[in-house]
Amino acid sequence: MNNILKREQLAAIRDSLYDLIKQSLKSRDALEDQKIITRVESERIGKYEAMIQNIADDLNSVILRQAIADIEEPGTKIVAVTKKVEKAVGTLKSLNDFLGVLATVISMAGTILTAFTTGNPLVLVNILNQIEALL
Amino acid sequence: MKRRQGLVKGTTFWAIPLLVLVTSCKDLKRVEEFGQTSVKVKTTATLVSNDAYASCLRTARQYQRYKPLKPTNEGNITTPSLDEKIPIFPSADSFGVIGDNEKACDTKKEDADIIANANITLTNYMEALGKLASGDTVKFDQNLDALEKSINGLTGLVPNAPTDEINAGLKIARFIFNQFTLAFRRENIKEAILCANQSISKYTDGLKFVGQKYYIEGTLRNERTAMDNYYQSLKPDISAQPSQASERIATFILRRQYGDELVALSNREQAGQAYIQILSETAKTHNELRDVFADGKNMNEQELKNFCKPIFTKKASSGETGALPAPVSPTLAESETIDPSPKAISLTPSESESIVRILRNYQRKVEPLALEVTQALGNN
Repeated sequence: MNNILKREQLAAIRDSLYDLIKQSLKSRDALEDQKIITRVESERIGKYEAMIQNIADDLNSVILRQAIADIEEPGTKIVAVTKKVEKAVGTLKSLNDFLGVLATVISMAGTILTAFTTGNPLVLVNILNQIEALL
Repeated sequence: MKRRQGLVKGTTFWAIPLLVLVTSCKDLKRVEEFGQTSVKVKTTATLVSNDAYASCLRTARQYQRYKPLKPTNEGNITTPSLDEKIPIFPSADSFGVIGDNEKACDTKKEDADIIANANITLTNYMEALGKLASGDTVKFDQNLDALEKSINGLTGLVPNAPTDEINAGLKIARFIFNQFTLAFRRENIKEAILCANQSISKYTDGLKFVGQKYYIEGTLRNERTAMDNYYQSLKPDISAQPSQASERIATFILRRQYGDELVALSNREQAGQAYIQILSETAKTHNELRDVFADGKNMNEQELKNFCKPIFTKKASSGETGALPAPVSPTLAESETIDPSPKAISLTPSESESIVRILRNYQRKVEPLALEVTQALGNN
């Protein structure tokens, strides 16, 4: 919670810096139009606006890093879950590889064959057991 | 816990689980599509993160907003912090020349990488979910084809082999394989979605903040400020001479250019907002999927913690290395036991309908947004 306030506060400071620049630009433009200041003087004020802008821009990068640090904890959790899911994917892959084993293929073929020649429902249950044992 | 199909007498056996198979297939299909949407998140996030850097370059080149060079350590750009003292009254020398500004944008380049990496965490998760839901790692068809071939080989040896029954048997085998892996996949997906949901919510909030506060209100605001200053400085100096025709033409052209660039900036802002919107939709859909997979049981904080403990506690298990695990033995892994009593697959048709509806809505909303972002930021 503290960190969220912190990044919001930093953003507010940055926003007010930009607002300040905007106001300054507007003001010196008006002063120049009214011939109270010259162009050269106006641009000199502009140089200080540039300074403030650099601070605001740098502050922006600080805000980003704060925001990313804030979500590090949920990020770590998401990575952990992703790993678990990828592990399950790996298990399925391994199951598939295992199924490629010739002996199992032949034995199951034989069992199915027998089941339907003898019409024996108990054998069907055995097939189910065999398949389940593979998982 | 594994589920085993109970045997029901007669021909109705295949009718009931077939329905369940169809609905489970649909619901996993929607998770698969959710996973595919990660591509849209990826592309919009990349456009935004790239622009974080590009904007800095534009500001330097087009608007000649010179950045003072920071003192750099050899090889490292120091991260800016509030503690750094920035000179209040800089001398003319402290403003670099245009060439140096590319270096001054290095921090923004780092920013872009930080944003990109943060989004990858999210899209990796979505892709893994999609992969598990699709089950395309389970190339059962290939192996069952092999089985079919070997049986056909066998039938040559066995006279009067009942080929019709054998083919029916193969269909049954294929069906049963699918059924078990569906249960396996569904259980794992359910666990993942339930355990990740809170984190997804917080995480997307953080990314949305980056999109709104860093990019739109920071990066683009900065560019706009530089732009305004630049055009201000080009305004004809009225104290110099009475306004001439050439000056009026110049003013006209500059005004139009200013207008065009305002539009370009506005497009970028819209693209940023579309990115934020996509993140909102993603979190929302994930929430809705969680409601469906929760099977009507709402776990409280502690129950959820216990349920998810295996994932979040550090164990010396093969999943920790980050690489795919070594092939597991054909015996049951992770001390799971087979539940001997037959259980129905728990997803009801109405549940799967609601999943379908939720994910269709999600896709409908996200498609045009992603298009918008691509169009706005693509025509740089």
